[in-house]
Amino acid sequence: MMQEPFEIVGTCSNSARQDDEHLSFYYDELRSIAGSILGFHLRTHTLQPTALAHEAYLRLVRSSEPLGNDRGSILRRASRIMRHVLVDYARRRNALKRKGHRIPTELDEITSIDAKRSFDLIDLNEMLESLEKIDPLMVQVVELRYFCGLTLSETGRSLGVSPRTVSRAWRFAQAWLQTQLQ
Amino acid sequence: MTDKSIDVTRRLYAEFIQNGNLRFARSNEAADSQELAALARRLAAGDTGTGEFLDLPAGRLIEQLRMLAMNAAISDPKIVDDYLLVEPIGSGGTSRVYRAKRSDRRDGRPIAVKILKPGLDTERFARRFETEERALRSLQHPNVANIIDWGLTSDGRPYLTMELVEGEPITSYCDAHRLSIERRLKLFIQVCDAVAYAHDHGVVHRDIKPSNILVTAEGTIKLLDFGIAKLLLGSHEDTETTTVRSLGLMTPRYASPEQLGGQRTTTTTDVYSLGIVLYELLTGMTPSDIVKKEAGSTAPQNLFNAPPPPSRAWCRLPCDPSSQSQTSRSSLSRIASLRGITESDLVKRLKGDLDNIVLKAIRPEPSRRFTTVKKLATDLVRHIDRIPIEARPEGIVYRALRLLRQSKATSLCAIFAGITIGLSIITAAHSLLTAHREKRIAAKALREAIEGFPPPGRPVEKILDGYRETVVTYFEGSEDEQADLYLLIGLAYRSRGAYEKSEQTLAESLLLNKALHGPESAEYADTLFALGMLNCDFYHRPVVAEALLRESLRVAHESGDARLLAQSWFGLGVALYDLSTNPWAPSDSLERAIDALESAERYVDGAVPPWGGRHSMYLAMAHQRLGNLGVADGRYRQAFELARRTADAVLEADVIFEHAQLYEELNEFDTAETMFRKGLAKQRQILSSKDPRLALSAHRLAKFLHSYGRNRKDVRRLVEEAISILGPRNKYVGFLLSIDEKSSRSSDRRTSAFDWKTMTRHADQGDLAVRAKLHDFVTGGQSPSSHAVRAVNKLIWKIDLQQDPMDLIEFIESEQPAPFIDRLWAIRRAQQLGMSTARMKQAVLKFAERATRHEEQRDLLLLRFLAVQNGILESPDELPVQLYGATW
Repeated sequence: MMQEPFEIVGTCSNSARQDDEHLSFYYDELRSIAGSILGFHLRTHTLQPTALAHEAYLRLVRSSEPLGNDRGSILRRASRIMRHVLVDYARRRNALKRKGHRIPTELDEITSIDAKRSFDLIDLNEMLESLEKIDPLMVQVVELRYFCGLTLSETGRSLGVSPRTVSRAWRFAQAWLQTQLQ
Repeated sequence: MTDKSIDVTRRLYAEFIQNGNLRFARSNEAADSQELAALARRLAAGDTGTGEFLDLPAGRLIEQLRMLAMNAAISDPKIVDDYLLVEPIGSGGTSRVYRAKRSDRRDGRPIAVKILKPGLDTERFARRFETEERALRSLQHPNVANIIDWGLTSDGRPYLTMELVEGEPITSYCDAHRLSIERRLKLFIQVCDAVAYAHDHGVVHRDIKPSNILVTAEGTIKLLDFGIAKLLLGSHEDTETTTVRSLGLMTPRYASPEQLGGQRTTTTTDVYSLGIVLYELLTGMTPSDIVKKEAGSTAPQNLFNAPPPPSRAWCRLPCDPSSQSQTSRSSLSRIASLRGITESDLVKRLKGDLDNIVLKAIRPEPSRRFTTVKKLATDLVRHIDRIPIEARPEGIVYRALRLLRQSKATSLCAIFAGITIGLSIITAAHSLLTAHREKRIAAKALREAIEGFPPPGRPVEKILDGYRETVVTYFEGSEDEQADLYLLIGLAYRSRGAYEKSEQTLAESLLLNKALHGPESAEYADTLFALGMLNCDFYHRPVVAEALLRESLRVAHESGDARLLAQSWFGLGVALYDLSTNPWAPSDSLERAIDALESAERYVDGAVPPWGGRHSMYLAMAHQRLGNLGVADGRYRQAFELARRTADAVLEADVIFEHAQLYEELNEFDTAETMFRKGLAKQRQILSSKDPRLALSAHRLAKFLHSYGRNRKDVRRLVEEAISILGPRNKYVGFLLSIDEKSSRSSDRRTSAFDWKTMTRHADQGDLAVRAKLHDFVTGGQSPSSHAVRAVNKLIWKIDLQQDPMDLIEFIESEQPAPFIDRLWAIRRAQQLGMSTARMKQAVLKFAERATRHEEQRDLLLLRFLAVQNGILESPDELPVQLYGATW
């Protein structure tokens, strides 16, 4: 549930006092980014952001860490949150399965998309944690590309590195993760 | 993963980033481990090796995830605190309801447990519950289902426990039992009684709909969910409307326009929803059903503004014109049979009283509905008892007004969406108001709220917007309160820098005060003063200000009231001072300003006037400009003393700042700099960091430091501060940068060119202030920047290059869209070229006529002023100007 802008902004800018105008600009930016990531725009005709979307959104805007004030840092944060939301979701699903609950049909639909992948989101998550030890930038590239769906150049902009570097980091990460997951 | 393999991988990665391949990879190192070998192979294989792995972004999955989030992925617990959830009995947008039992008692009565879906802010919910608790618990009515308690589930979601009601929604109950219109009305009156009871206890439902009005097997009405909307949303719909709607916190079919518009809701909101329920009970459909079926109509406004009366509900059904008559007839016959009468009897039964009652309940303006639910019920009882009812069809005037307002509706909605909790005082006043029509009490509370301003930490302007709207809506019909409150709100707007809104609000107050109290009244003079001062200080329209203050002075003379006389003279003095700063001002304006200010001082007669020592400051400034530096110094000191005595920090800062400029003129630069800095520091303490006055002061200090080569580093910093306050797109930023242009050649010249462009654009569009400043800037002593010269040239060359005065006259008289000042400029040029006064006068009058049509009356006063000054018009009477509802 969206609260008044003021409150959200208040929470995310607990670091330094910034002036209102900046904040409201910032909030709009944040919201538009969060919106596009969470697919709010895809279903504007029904306007039914669900709990999950809210959850991700709230995690994004209410995080206690101070947000940077540029699009790049918001995207980096958002992609990480997307990763955690999806992984939490996968865990929940596994828990249902373990307890012998019926998996709702909608879940199966997602699993069918999952079928293209030969890995489990939870494993991927663990691998990303290992990858972090090799190079954190690579993990951010994976988060932005895979969990946020950004293009190479968008990813580069968010991280402040050239698209070529992103492309190489991405290829390396893909190769490494694939090796680890097989 | 071993440390070693991490290390090796790191090195491989570094090389890959560097070269894009692993041609030189120490494959022997990689070969140490199978994994690393595989990795190296994959990377060596190039792009194709990785295939589609990870190529479909997981982010897209969110779409699927979202679909199942609410219902599937999150399951409710079986036991919540002391309650055992037996079975789910309902599910809505925000919650799921279970039949539950107390787990510690075998024979406990079943209750309902409503578990709120995730996404709600638990902390706020808890806080709201605590504030609401007493009101909710006080609801003890046989037709109201009680909320018993609340708590948190183990996964942190709030839940409510309440009386378990088993019944059927009122609409389906009535249809299932084929209740007659009269029986339906009687049931509905019971509903009204229950709602009225809750209103008396200060609880508004805000989500009345058939599924919240159940009829039990015994035929008893039970209202569910009283006060829940407020628990979920807080005291106002301060959240975004879309969110409110999407979370299912209200049901659009039954929601009032103010709810859908995200505005404040009150007891009359419930009246509206009840009206819709009644509509449905009578006709089997709601107005929105009708609109949905109606062809081509998508705008909800139609629905709100002109819902068909119940007796005509069928006439507009359905959307397919070919089958229209048939379908609507079959729907009518079905509905009539469910009410146990014939079709024609049903229409006859609804016509008249019931049409009027329903339409009055669902009027779009809250203030024009039944003011209380009780009144709605009373009218229904009267109808049943065949006593004349109170509800009357609306007159044509209201319908016309509504159409007029419709155009504004969207912007009002936008404004309302932002209103926050700062309105609590108003709400209190307001519930009093709607319940008892005690407008005076409400007005008092509102007045206190405006004057006791500001509630900390809220965007004040939005709060004022809310106040203003409250005055518009709820004081309709009490013009004297409106006039007074508009004046207060207008002044509050001005003190917050919301000048345009201030002007609008004050103009409304002026009209009302003049109409109510007459053109000799103190109320009228006070509003003239307020509006006059506004035109000086922000709009820099001294001609308009002078006209207003002269009128105020006239009233003051008539009444002989010393307070009004002092005030009007003071205002006039400020206006004249303001006028004197213009290059085209009459040469004696400074002297006249001094006369006026001294008259004000005489009428003040030693007392401290409401404007504190400001007259002294203006006197000082005027004397300084006339070169009477000694007198000026004395007056500054006097103003400073008065500021100190009245603890007027704003004035104190201003005086210090102005006084510094006197020292600058006296070449006492050290003292001047100290005082500039002191004044600025003082302003920083009292003004918000965004206040444009702060930018002006920073700019002034920068200019001082720059002119005398003092502390160049600070110049840059101050200019940057000023720009950051005004924002890079502000029309004055170019001037600020111009100081900096020379002192820091290294500054980003592109920015500065851009800002000149912005400014030129404003000037191009006819912004008088910017143009005058640009012109000053080039012609006045300030070192003209190349940008400024270019900007000004671009604007005036077209006119100044003209050689044939007839071309100019033609331009002045044409309908061609052009900024006001271009025509003023053309008049000046035509006069220079020797055009006859008679012909000039004709052109001026034609120009004036065009300007009136384009609502440029304020500038028209300037035109008249200049025309009189240049002998084109003999007296102002030749060109009467309509402004603020009067002739000037």
